[in-house]
Amino acid sequence: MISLRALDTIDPAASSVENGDRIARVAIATLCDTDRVRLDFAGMRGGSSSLFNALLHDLRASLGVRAVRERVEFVFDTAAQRTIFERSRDAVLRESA
Amino acid sequence: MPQVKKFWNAYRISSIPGDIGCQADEDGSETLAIQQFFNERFDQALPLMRIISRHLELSPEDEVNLAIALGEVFRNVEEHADSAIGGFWAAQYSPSERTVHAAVVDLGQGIPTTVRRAHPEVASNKDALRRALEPGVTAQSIETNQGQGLNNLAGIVRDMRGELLIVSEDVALEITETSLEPIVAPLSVRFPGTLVSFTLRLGSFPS
Repeated sequence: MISLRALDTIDPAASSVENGDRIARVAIATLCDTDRVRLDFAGMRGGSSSLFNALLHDLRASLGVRAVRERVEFVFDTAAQRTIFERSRDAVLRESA
Repeated sequence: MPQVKKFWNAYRISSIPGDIGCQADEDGSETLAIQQFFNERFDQALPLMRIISRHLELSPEDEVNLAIALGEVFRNVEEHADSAIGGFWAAQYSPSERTVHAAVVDLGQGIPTTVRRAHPEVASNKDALRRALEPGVTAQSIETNQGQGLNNLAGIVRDMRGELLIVSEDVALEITETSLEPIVAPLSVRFPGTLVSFTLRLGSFPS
């Protein structure tokens, strides 16, 4: 398991969608070298649900729904962020489940 | 609808061109300069965070909720409004009440028009505005849209014992601390775009 900090990838001047795409690219590249990846969103204070929508959409397109659920772990330091993420996850991963 | 008067105040403010600067009011409140934007940015709420941080240490929950509440509205303006002027936003922090009041306005196509283009079965502007707050109702302006934005905003407002007012075209929607279910009513005038105004009470997010 390799841990990635979302903050290390985020460009504050870019949009939520662009940042979601950036995090997805790093996660997908990392999964070429490891079975599982942990995405840690600690300290992330910005953006909108579009970041999670874009991230999950890209992961789903590249890995498939099952692999996203099994190979990517999402970690949050606030309940608020987790709530927003879970709404996006339920919507994006349900679509093609 | 008691908050409609706030709409008119915000509408008047939004017509002032340029930057009026950050100013302190008599009651100690601080008002963030009116800012124009065309695109949503990840760090767009940062100036407001800085103002609040001069008075108290924001909790991580409040920081996240505040950023996302604003981010959802900015995103909607960019993706859906097709507003020639982009959007304008302003905000105020009241240290004595520990409340943040923010307003975002655009002069693009309103929410009812956006919803009814994607969902022609929606019969009226009132229904369209109400539907816009439901999860999964999306105009699919971009591929990754999930129709969560206004639903997230309403959830944050409820969690933080706040208030929400949305005025768009000829209808208005309101959520208050005592009326958690949205109330939608027609307006006697037509607003040429969308105004979203909300108040959040810091420190009230359920632990």
